[in-house]
Amino acid sequence: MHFHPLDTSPPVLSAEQLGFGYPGGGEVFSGLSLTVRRGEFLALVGPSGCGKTTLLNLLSGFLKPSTGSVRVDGVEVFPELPALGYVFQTPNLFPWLTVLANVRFGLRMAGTMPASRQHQRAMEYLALVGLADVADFLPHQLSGGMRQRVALARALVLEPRILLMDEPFAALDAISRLSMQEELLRIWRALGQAIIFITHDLDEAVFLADRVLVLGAAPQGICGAFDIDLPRPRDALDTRRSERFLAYRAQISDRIAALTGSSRAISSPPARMFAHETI
Amino acid sequence: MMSSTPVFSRALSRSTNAGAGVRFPRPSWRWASLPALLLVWIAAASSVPAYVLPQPWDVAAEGWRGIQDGSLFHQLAASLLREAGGFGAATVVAFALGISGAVSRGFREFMAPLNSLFMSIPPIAWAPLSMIFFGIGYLSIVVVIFVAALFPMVLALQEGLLTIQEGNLRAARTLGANRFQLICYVYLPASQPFIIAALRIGFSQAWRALVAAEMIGASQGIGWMVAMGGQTGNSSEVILGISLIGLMAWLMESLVFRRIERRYEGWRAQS
Ligand SMILES: Nc1ncnc2c1ncn2[C@@H]1O[C@H](COP(=O)(O)OP(=O)(O)OP(=O)(O)O)[C@@H](O)[C@H]1O
Ligand SMILES: [Mg+2]
Repeated sequence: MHFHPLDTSPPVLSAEQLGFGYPGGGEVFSGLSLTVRRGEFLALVGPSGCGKTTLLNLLSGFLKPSTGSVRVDGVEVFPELPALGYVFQTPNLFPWLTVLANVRFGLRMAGTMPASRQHQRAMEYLALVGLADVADFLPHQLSGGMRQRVALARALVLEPRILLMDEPFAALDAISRLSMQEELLRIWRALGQAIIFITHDLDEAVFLADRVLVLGAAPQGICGAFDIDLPRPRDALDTRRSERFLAYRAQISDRIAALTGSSRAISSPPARMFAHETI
Repeated sequence: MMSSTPVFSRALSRSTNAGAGVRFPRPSWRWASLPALLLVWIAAASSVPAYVLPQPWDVAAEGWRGIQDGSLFHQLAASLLREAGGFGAATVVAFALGISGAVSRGFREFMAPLNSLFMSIPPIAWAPLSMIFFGIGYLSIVVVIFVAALFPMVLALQEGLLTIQEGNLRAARTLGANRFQLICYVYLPASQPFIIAALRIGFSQAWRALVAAEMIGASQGIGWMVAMGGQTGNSSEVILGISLIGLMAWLMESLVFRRIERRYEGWRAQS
């Protein structure tokens, strides 16, 4: 784990008393506060339409809160902030650039490195996501999972201190999702940035995160925080079979069931491996 | 990835390594269409007097005479100069209007009725008015070309720019691109296929209008040459003019636009 429970260093990201509503719509958030510790893996789960994407857009500065503020290392946040990386739900690769040029894009914009160094750095990160051999392909020649890995490399190459991920694996099939999850944990261990990971998938949240936050339907905000004390490195299969994993998952899905007033509180989760609790 | 080897030789080399699934090239009949047209022409010309329909070689001889005394170049140059003026001006204005339309919804809504009005009027209908306003000469024809090319280009540019994906813009911003870099590294490359398509539409519309306008009110140019040939009963000159008009359009299309467009085919189909 990348932080100590008694870690007193200032948070890498802090959101205070955020309020937000879309024009013409109701409030999505009122008085939402959130801090992310350095190197922490934070997962956010919540039902569809509860404002998960809206929250990420507030945290990245694409949207401005009506009250409160978001600070990254004490600086008011804006989308171009170098400390911030963003992996979207769809890969959003630039279709006219090769895979390598996509990964190099941020380095080119910054312009702080000579071209040869940029190239080398981009290659390193492509290798990190296991795609060095398709460096010269165009995005449309890749599979969906490969594209999402390129998007990950493209964000990571700038070495952000905090990475925002909006359901990045939602479009993938169950098998490639499992391997992407493991891969993400491996990369996170190697690089040690903080991650805010949004997902529908409870199983995914518990497997990946140090801490899981449950968002209630708008404008409830955060309705539960769970520290996930599972040993690392985690294994796609073994970790999911462990007692504690199942207990955490049951605990969280109980909370969600209580929130939504559902009578089908899932206290004893199914033993099947690929069952995803989807809310 | 595909190499640029012609289809035919690739199929040949494949058929030499005697593996399973040998494929033969599908015969293409593209090459046969022009010779066929020529044959029909010769056959038709043999059955009518030469002053009605001359033989291809008579037209070629007419062309050779025109090259030798320089008159052909003179006419061609006059036409190309007008095309350049009208098409060039239309391109500049179309960029301004197309970009404004893509950026501002209000402007787009304002322009929409004007676009459809002007697109529904055949550009040559403006020629008489243009000649009353500007007199017979360079300017009046350039104005007709300008009107002909402008509106289709505005529409093509605007629609193209609108399809640039919001996601790409957002991704570029989180990767640190500032406003200026967004224009250079996202808007511009993302819109290149649409820019090429717009230029192509504009050029061909301008060329059509040019020839038509020259036939009505000019004292030189390819269109004028065709019209004069018709009035003096010189059918060789008429057919020579027509051939040149087609040839110029074809050269522009295959030497310029096709080539540029081919570079974008791959990703354009996907995005
Ligand atoms: N651009 C917008 N204008 C107005 N309302 C919006 C806009 N985007 C989202 N909303 C509303 O805000 C609420 C939260 O939307 P948001 O996209 O953040 O949900 P989400 O939790 O990301 O959902 P999902 O899990 O389906 O992606 C929804 O009720 C939605 O209708
Ligand atoms: Mg969402």
